[in-house]
Amino acid sequence: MKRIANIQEAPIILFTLLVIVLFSSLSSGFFQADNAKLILDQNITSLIVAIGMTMVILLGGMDLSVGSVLALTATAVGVFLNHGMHPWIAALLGVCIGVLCGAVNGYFIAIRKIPDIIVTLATMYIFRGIAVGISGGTWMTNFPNGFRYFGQGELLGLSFPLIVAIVLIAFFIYLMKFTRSGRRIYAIGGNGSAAKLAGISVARTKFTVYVWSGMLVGIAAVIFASKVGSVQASTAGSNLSFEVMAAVLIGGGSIFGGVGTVAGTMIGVLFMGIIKNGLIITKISPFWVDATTGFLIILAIIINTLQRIRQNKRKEGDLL
Amino acid sequence: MKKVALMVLTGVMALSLAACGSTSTNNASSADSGSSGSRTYFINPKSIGPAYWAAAQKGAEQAASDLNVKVVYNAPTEADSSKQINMIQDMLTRKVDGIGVSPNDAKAVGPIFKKALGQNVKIVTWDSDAPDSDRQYYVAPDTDKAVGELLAKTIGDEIGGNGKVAFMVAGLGSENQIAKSDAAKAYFEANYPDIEVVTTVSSDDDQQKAYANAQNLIKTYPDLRGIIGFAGGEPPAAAEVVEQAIKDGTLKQGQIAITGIAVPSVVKNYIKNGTIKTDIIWDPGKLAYATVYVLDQLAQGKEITDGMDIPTVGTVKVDGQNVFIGTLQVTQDNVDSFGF
Amino acid sequence: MNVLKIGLSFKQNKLQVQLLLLLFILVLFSIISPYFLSVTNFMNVFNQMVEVGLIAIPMTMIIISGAMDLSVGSILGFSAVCMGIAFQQGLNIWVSVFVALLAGLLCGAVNGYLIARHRMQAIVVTIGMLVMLRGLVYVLNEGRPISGYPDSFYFLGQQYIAGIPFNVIFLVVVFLLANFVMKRTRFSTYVYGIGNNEEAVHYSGVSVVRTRFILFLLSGLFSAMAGVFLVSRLASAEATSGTNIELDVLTATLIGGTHIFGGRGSLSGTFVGLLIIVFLRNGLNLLGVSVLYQAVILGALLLIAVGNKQFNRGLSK
Repeated sequence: MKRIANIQEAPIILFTLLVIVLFSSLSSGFFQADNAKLILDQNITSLIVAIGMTMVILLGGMDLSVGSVLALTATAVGVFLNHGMHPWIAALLGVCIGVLCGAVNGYFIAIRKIPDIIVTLATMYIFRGIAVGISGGTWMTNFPNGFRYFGQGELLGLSFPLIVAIVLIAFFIYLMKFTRSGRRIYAIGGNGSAAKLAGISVARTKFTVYVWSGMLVGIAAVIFASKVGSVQASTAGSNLSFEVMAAVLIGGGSIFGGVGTVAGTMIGVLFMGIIKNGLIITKISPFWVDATTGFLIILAIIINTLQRIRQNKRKEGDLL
Repeated sequence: MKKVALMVLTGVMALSLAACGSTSTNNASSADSGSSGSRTYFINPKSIGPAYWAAAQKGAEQAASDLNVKVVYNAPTEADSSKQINMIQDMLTRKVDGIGVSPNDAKAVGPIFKKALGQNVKIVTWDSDAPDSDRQYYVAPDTDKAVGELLAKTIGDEIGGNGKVAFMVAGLGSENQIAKSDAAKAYFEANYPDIEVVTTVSSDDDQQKAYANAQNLIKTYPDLRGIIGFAGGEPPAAAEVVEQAIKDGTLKQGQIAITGIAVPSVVKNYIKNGTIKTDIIWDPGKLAYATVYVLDQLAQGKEITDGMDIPTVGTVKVDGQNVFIGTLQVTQDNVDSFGF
Repeated sequence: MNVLKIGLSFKQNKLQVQLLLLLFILVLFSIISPYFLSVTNFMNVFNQMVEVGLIAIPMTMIIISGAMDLSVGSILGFSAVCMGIAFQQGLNIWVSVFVALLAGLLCGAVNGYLIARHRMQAIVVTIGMLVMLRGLVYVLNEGRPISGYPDSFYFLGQQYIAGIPFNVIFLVVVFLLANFVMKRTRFSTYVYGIGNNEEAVHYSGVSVVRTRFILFLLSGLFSAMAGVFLVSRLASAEATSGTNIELDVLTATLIGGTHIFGGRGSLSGTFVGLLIIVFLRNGLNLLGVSVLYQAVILGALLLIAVGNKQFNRGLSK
């Protein structure tokens, strides 16, 4: 029992369960297999983007540009498709554009050593501008049927995007837990100068993480475009960065870096998704939806902090 | 030294971009740039980016070249009234001859319109009105009330006047959305008492949120019969979700009727598939064209009269200070005939 | 190179770049637009920057102390709507203004209580507040704008005194006051100290909690003030007012040379940063440059203005 309470994610898991029980008692439609599927389906984009954001936050950075990268990639894919390009090639090129955006972020952050938030705030403006520019102000829509597979197709009885997400999550959990590059990220986030002294190339790791993050946003963008069926460059993903950042931090991450797990983040994303879905299913007044969402976010973070204080007290005495 | 180089670089960039911007407006304004400096109008949509406003821009530029005037078409990237008013203020400094504004907040434009009037600048609102202001005319397809009622009537007829209907709006605080949905609700109460409006969900202009909203609606109300989308992004999201649900077998074909306001090119496939039977729209290009035309008439001191003929737009109805160009109904039969 | 030297050169050089940039923008637009260089245009620009400017003051302090407040836009909207509702309920307009300021203070207090007292991460708490307060705005007035204030109230946002808008005079006075506080008082030492080395400040017997709390309280108060001025300028309190204003504020602060990791920065820098973005926007508007290109230019400027040598110390912090 004590061991369970010591798992970093324990409080947020408990809180999520509590919210689920609450919604289930309010509406019979909530606690059902197909609603669970719906929630997963609605949050695939956020889940994938959040993996990258977790790594970035672990390094002590943050990425405000994910929404704009999403818009740029999705728009570009739309442009390719409307020019009659094969869906698979268009999707692949889309992911490449995501990687490129990530590399641009990584270049300024890791090599030019400009703080993360400044670079990503700047690229947030720039990528969004480019996205709307190449869209010509119109919507990307009327995608060919072949393209729909990425967002709506099925493989072995499971939805294709869900499989993609699960594979990515599994891969990155493995990467972060068991490989040297994963541990490097924790090392740098935990104590940058110590990591440097230990011979870890901070710049290289940072650059790689931003490229990973860009790639993940690229994949998410393809799924997004295929699933939603239309892309508006000026607004696509406009709230994504804040939402995903909140999910990482709810899932136990620390904005100062070094703390957090991919699994925790995934719970954070699902927590937010459950709230959004549950508030509509329980037929709460539409005017209350945002207010309640914000309140629950704050509550989740309070619970998280209490846990951390409890742990710290045991370890380091009363300093914090 | 490096800093100086950076500065120069910024400058060059800003200049070249500025040049891009101004040449594009020049090209748009007229082939004969010599005389185009005579009259300049600022046409201000709610925001820049959505397809609807992009289509309107084409109309405004068309009018500029037809009437041999200069048109600046610009707005903030988000529908925010304080940024919009800052921009109008900047354009008044530029001494334009007239402004055509689609206000994000009808009350907030009051002071700036007063100021514009003091500078003898002609003011026309378009697409959305500011009734208690100093604006001279309001150019619209029809009143918000009439559009809302038309939407309600469409869905009421389609589902036989009985069942649950949900509203999807772009913003809970947006005035034209409130006016249209209130009118639709009132129409149901008066004419289809058996129709129940179950809820109103808002997407905040976010396409993914609109999509998730539609999914949740279908889940929450299994006996839902109709969805009205009051802004350009809502009907396609609803239609996409319904088509997917039909494919998955969770919904029967034709169980949920969808209508709304959407640009034909965006909903073309859904109309062809029969997911949307009727879509209400007007040509945003013609709306912008009419706006420029009315401004130009005012600037030349000419009268605006009922039944007057605006080139490419056609005959318009003038009711007091309102200029109506009329709405269009997009159906399977005519969906390919629209160029926007 | 030793740290002290960099710190010094930073102080001297940093603002020079910003001032040069500002000068460059002013000259550039004066040449290419015939409408740019005029008293009325300048007064317009100043008039437009008041809300962002007011919020930028506490934001600069908070960033110097090593935190961030993303909820300012929602606090602005929340207090504006609170004022509108108080007025609709028949309260005197100045009492309603007081209600708005109280609402802002309350929001700031909640932020401060959670962040300072309970050591929660500022970014998440304020994101939560951002969502929640914006939601509460819709709960309060169902999204309908509130207008119809008495003429005396419009004095705040629309009147000119000796050719200068009243709200601009107010902003400048507040800026000077705040600048004095941040240069000459012990409070500023604490703020810079917390940004540089929180533990050291803690051990020297200064209450970190109280300083932090005061900062967030200020942020709430100033956001509410910005809300009041915005309502007075636009004659209407709407549910969407202040959306995304935090990005403008952040951009101005960062262009002004405040270090995002805290410990360094100045209000004068923020003021110059503010002038740079408002004049840039105004000039590009006058030229009729589409806002899409404006966003790209702003982004590039941010990278160029801030992205020079001072950050090369990177992780050795």
